[in-house]
Amino acid sequence: MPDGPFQVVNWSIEELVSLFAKFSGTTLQVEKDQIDYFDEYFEESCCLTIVVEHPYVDHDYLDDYAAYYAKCFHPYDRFCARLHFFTCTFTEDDFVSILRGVTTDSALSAAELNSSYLGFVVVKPLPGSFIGRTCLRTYPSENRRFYPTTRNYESHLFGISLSVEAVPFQEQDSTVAMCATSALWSALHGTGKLFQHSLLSPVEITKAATLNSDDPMRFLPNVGLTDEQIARAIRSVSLEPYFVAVHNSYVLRSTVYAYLKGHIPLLLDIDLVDVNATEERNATSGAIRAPASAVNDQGDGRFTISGNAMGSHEVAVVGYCLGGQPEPLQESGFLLTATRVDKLYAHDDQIGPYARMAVDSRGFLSTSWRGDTSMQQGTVWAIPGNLLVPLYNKIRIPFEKVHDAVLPLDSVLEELRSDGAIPLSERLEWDIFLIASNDLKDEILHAAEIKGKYKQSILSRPMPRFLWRALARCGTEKVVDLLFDATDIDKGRLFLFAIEYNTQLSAAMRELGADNEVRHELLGTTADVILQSFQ
Amino acid sequence: MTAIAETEDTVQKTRAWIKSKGRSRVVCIRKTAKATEARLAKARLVDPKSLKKPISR
Repeated sequence: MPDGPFQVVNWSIEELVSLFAKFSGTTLQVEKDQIDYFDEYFEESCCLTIVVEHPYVDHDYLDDYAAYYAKCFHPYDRFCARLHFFTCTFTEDDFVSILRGVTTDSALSAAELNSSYLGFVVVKPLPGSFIGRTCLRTYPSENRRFYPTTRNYESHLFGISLSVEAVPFQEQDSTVAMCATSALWSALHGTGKLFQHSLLSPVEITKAATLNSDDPMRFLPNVGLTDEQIARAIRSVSLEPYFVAVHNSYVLRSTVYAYLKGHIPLLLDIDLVDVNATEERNATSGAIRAPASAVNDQGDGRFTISGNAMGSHEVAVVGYCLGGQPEPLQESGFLLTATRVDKLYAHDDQIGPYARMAVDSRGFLSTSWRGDTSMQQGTVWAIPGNLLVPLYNKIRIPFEKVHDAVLPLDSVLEELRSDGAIPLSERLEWDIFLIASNDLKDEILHAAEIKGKYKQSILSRPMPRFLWRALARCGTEKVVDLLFDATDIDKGRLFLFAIEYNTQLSAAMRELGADNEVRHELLGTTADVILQSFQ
Repeated sequence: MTAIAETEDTVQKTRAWIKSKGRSRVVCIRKTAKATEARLAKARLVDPKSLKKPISR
């Protein structure tokens, strides 16, 4: 293979491993779980060609280099290589023809390259931990996979503009960044454009996290961060860290979904446990479950999982799969769309971008980690600990406040429906999530269900920048949209207004709100405020 | 049934429901909702000690 500013090679995992080895300075055979991930990802994505760009200056690595590697005795390189992946086949001559401006009918065009672009991987010149900034196209949605935190990343390859919708990923270098730094780096890339804050390099994150910390451990080389330190790094970019413990699958799924759908990536700390037994599949639903032999029922609705503890890890949750059926909430049968989530997609720096984590209904997550002793994949489960949401300071009302406000209202409406008062064929399913007012208005503008003056009145209404939306559907049909002010104070009115799609449901809500006895029982609750808005 | 008649039917049936069992059912529903809120709040409660645990894999 000739050395030069670029090379064009055919895709194969052997070729990729050889490029990783060449540019990272790794002389031995590269054995990493990320390699298995890339093999599967690029095969499924039908990758055919790789363009190698070398030397490449990577901003994040350069910061890490200046802060740490430049002062090592060993002369670490400051330049990286960048590998670009394409689903079309072309040769080095075809690529050269673009750079030389050849425009024959058969010549490869820059537009063709862009349409077949899968993204890029930066290879850092560090042995062992060389996977730098990686922006890869997500798996196809197929109407079940959702990655609301992606944004458009442009890369310029010798003047050719290429773009990919992605959330950046990189692995920890175990020196200036451990798993928590890498996960936070990915999450802050998601919030950076959304909330307009500066983007920190891995070493800047580690420094911000450990600034004024009373932790006696040394910061560089870094040995890991605590949730408190991660929170400090989040505050350094003027965001507010919001912690929620996620000790059951309902809380995990509902909280992750509510913020992710609002385009906010989340950080999740997990305890890894090797159960030394392979996962099980539910015979009817096909859902992946932790092996029964490893799960212990605590009797209070909580479960534990036993096996070899492998330590704590942090991932950035960037997507979800709505592949399941809604699971009714224990006491009331409340149906939440978020309970359809059967998998999370996380940037797990030890596995790869968009790594699949199946949600076990008892609160565990599957992983693609290998067991420390068994070295097998599929036997390591994650026990979720705390979920950390990096929030813009104006988003003050948490998801649970809105969830709990809708809960009693849904029960009343369900009683009316099941008694035949409201002609709805199915129980309402509630889709509760954060939304920016601009996104809501854009949806309303294009919504066929709302017309005329009603549409105009909603669109011209002043709204806060962030709202909580509780959209009720009967089957696939929208019946009512309840909108809450996410910027309000805890004891505030909270509810803003409703968008009515179903006249029967609205009529029933009007009657409920007009009755003094019902009102008396709901007085002081948000449910009462909602019903009064229908008067 | 026309849309207006259907709406009037819903109004009458809702009034009848309120009159027959509205108040008692709402009291019961609020009680259940409060129990659910408490259970979920417990599951969401962050243990301050867990924030100091090093995450290092």
